[in-house]
Amino acid sequence: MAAALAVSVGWSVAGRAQFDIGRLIKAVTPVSQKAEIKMGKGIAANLLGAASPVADQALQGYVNKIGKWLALQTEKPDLPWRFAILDTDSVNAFAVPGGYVFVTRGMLLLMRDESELAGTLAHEISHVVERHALKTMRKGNWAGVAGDALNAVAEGEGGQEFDKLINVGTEIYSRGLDKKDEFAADVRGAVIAARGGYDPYGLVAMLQSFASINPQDDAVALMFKTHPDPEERMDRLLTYVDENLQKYGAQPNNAERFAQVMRTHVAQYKPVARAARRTEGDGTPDDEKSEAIKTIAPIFSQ
Amino acid sequence: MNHSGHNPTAPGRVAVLIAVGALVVATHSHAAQTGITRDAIELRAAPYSDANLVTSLPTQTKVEILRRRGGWIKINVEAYGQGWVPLHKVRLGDSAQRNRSSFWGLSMLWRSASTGRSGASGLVATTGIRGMRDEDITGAVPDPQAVKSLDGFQASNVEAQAHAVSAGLEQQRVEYVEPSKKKKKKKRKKKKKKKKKGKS
Ligand SMILES: [Zn+2]
Repeated sequence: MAAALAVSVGWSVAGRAQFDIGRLIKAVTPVSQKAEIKMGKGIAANLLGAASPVADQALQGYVNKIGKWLALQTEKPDLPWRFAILDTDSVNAFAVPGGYVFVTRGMLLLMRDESELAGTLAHEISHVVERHALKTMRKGNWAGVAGDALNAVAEGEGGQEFDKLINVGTEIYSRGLDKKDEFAADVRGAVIAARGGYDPYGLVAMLQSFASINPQDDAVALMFKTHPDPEERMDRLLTYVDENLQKYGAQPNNAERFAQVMRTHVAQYKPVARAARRTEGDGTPDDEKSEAIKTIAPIFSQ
Repeated sequence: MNHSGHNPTAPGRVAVLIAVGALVVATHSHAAQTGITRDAIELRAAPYSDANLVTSLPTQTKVEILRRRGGWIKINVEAYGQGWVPLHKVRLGDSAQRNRSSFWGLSMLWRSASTGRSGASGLVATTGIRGMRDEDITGAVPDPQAVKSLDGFQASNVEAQAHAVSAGLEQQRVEYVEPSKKKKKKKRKKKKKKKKKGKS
């Protein structure tokens, strides 16, 4: 299936022989950090083409400070970490190679305290640190593409081959990562949150919300399709946290600081109808779009 | 049982002080998050498994969620009063069946709690939601300008640290334990649990 995928996207760098031992060995060549960051930038551009970052400096700053603090608790504190809340009601979060972490506003609205946000960010951070997306791409979408070739294309001048690499790589965000890696990211996420001084049960609480939502709901469709069953995730993570991290459960969840930010920056924010920037375009000039995104209206009538 | 948040006793006051800020508002406007028990569970006086038993709750009991502490949530149950139960034993929303709450319903409930205004009407599944479906992602036109704009939001190590310290977060040394290595211990724990159950 991996080979079929590689063929179906018409990969040109891969060459012809699918089971060339030499290439398999080459495929083990790790992607360089430089290439990882550059590819991540391209993938992030695709995701932000579907949903823009919320135009709110204070909200984004808040999330970046928490995210960076958590990233500092990992083995890769020096990646160019960037965090953002995306302007969409869909409930989801994304980890992009190189240190881009996105959480949707829809997901933020489900959170009840800062430890839930921290657990979510830490889950995504762990995907980045463990290079789960790169691993999935190289097993599927980029199967048969030698590591050397990936590095060469990514570190090169860009161009068509680079764009193809990025577009094919972006597809994993609609297919999902390896389920095992999702469970691993839950556990590592809870550990990272505990290291940062947060109550590690925050991520369990987040999963409790997911497990309570009707999977038929459009808002969760993509997340449910790309992740293991939330109730199973919650039960598994709880087992780990109860056994290994229970004593950190008394650490702060910063509910008040979180509620303050939500009250002043999120609860009042009314999403402005805006079609995603699609290939065919929606006819709206970009200036008008960004103006529309800035519009903030109270969500409830007084 | 007083559930308006005006408990005059000292522990009650402490509870209100450290309660979720939003829920302080919520308890006044009676718009707290609701939930329903997944199983028959024991309501305890404190967030510990060996804390005093308040009462036993039948499965599918409607509860009001007041706050969380680690793996436990404090709930208010009509006719039973307040107490603590394990977090995962309560499903959010008010439907007994699994996964029946809409995203919008849950978030609106919470939003109304955090703003103190009622707005939890129309609790139906959202359809035609704008944003990130498969086709939105695969069909999106890349927006490198938006990626660049993220640089303006980034936090330095110092800023991140100051923000953490100001909220009382303390860095901990926590080892990551491979879950598979814990299997033996898990089994032992299960046996222990069974024994405990048998006794009671
Ligand atoms: Zn994940």
